[in-house]
Amino acid sequence: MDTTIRICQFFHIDTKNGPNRRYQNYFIGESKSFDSNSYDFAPFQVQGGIANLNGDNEQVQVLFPATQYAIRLVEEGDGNRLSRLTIYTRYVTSSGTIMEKTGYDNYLVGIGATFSEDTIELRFRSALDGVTPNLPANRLSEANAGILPLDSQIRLA
Amino acid sequence: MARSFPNFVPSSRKFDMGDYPVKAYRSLSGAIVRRVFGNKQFGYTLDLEFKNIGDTDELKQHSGNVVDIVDHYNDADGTVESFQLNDRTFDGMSAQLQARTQTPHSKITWRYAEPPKITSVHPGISTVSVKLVGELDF
Repeated sequence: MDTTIRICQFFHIDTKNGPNRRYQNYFIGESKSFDSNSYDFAPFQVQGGIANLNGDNEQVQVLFPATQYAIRLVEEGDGNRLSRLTIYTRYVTSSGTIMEKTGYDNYLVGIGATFSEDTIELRFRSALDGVTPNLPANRLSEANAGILPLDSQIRLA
Repeated sequence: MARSFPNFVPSSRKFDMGDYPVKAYRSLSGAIVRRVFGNKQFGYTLDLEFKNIGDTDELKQHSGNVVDIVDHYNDADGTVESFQLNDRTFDGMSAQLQARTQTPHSKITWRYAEPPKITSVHPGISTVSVKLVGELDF
């Protein structure tokens, strides 16, 4: 039994001082049309959490090799502190067709960047996340639950 | 990009095709999932041997000489710069096969995988081994 998947990520960033930039990481050396826009190839990878129930704005890192355009992305985004990023994740068929509505759309806000000798890491946080896991923050009280025990042994019937 | 590899006929040649960037996850059940990360092959390798060639002069037509190979390695800044291959590198291979093996798409360029190895076999005569790797440039 064998399953093969092909996934392309489309990277659309609005930097603070520069124009929009669009990249994709699957079709090597090609420009691909997606969502009525053209995405050039860039060898980036995305890693990190996307969302959780705690509403603590999960971090996502986008890794680029330290090339000229990656450095420009950092400079135009004022150290990637004021950029807005959308990442579209889409499945691709073996013939190279991008399948619409097959993945996530993630909206992220830049929070900084890190340089190393061979990579540039752009760091983002989710722009919108769950507020808290227990919203609305109701509190158990005698009024809604009756007489409460003094320890944590509560059994929900 | 550096100048093309010297147009010499190698004594022997070993060519390995590239592969697609793929990672496989095999579960305990044995089922396997492969994720493909790109749409082009990479990592072609080409091992060339120039046996018993002159250090400075060609002993036979197109057999090459060691100095030209070393000069090319230096001009390519060692393993840094990429370059193209000439037809004689694939001498003896049928045109149909060559069309399927040599740089199947234009994004592949060649680099030295390691410095050339030179073995002296006789005064003024050496054997040179060259390992090249074909990688994706974009």
